[in-house]
Amino acid sequence: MACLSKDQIEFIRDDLKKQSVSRSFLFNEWVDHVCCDVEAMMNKGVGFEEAYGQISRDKPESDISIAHKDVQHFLNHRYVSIKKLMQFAFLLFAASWFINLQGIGNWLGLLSFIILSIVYLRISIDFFSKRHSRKVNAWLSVLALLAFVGTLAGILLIFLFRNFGISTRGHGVDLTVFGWFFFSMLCTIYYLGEFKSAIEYGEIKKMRWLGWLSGSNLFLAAISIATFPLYHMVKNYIFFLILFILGFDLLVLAILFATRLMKNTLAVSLILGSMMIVFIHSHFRTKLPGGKPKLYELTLQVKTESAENSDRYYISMYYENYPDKPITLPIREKGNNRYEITMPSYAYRGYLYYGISTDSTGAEEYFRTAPLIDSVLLRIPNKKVYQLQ
Amino acid sequence: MIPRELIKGTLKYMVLNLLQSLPKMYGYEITQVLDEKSSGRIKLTFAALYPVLHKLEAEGLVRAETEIVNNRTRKYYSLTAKGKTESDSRMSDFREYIDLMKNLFY
Repeated sequence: MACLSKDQIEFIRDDLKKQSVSRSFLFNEWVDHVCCDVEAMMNKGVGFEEAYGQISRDKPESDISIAHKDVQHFLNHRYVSIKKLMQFAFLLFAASWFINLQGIGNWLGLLSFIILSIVYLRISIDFFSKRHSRKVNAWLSVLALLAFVGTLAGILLIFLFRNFGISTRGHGVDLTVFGWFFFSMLCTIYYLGEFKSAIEYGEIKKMRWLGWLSGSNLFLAAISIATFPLYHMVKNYIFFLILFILGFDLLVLAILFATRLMKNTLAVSLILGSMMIVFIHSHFRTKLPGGKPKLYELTLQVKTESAENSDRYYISMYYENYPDKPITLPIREKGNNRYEITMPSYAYRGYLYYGISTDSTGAEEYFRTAPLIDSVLLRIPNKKVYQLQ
Repeated sequence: MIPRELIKGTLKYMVLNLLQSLPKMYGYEITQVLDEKSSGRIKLTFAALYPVLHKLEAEGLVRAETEIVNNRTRKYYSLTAKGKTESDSRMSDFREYIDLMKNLFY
């Protein structure tokens, strides 16, 4: 029974390495297969060099290339449905910023993020089911699961805060950005692995570009996370960071379209997810119909002890959660000694502290000096009769 | 020779059946056993066999273990517990299908 020596095996390995197939995850099995074939021929009395020469001619490189592509296609084909789900989430998200009939924009937005998190969950399940074929898949599954948890929990907190004023201490933002960070990490590891095992020049180039793209997203997500503890130092630059990320994502999306790489589900999910998560934290959303917060009216009936009436009053106020941000606003006359002020709904559940005067300076002064300024518990809409001193 | 389409469609059952009879096998060994049992009428290429093995592995029906044998890395495949149960059921379906084919054609 012929058995190849260590040197002969090394010779075969080195020779096969000269071909691009050495990058394939099937390479070790390919080497063993070729060695077994050579040994079988040597058992028939053929010399090593002649046996290997013949096997090399009979076993073309395309054999492993076909197997490599076939396995990869099988491992990736389930992503097609995930990609469609992701595109649907993004369409819903885009619609939520333009359609806001009866406030459904917020609900559409919530739904789009729930679908985004379901996409992450499906990817996690998919990697988990393939954990036997590659060990790294178990870790990728964990990362996708973390992205799912972060995105879902984060968007629920943001929704509760913006629509019901429930204080979440900004954790909604943190969690969604962490979700994006974990998904970027997953994509980076995945595409680097694909890059290392790709065997065709076009595939190597494609995977290198997708790996770079995922790595850039990971870097941007990491910078975004770094702004949380450094918020007071960098708050004036966050707008530019958001602008840069959105611009980068748009550019990448255009390149993916142009280079026909939109079939790469993970890359598409990464870019669309990144755009969704970053956009909801940007100021651009307030410029769109669906991004404007729901407005409520606070009606004050002003009763004056003197006969002095004004056609305009000023309210100086701050919201309970923002004592360091007092503002002074004119109150519109609604007629019949009633005055009205309109304010956005979110974040203002709690107390509104305020003082009123006939001129803006007076309101500010009163507001600053009065030992006990008036307050109203805002369960908007609310009505309050204000007795002007 | 048996047409490639027929082999391709039934290769999964052949592999599962072989792995039921032996505790573990490696790729080349599978090709040789099938070649021998079919009297040379089924000759599997690398491109035909390995995707099937990897698909079975991804489905959790087959477990792969890597060992160093004769100074080189060799991957052995064996049935998992799920694979044993599933292959019994799949083989029974397959036998039923063969019987049906026999009734249809003969």
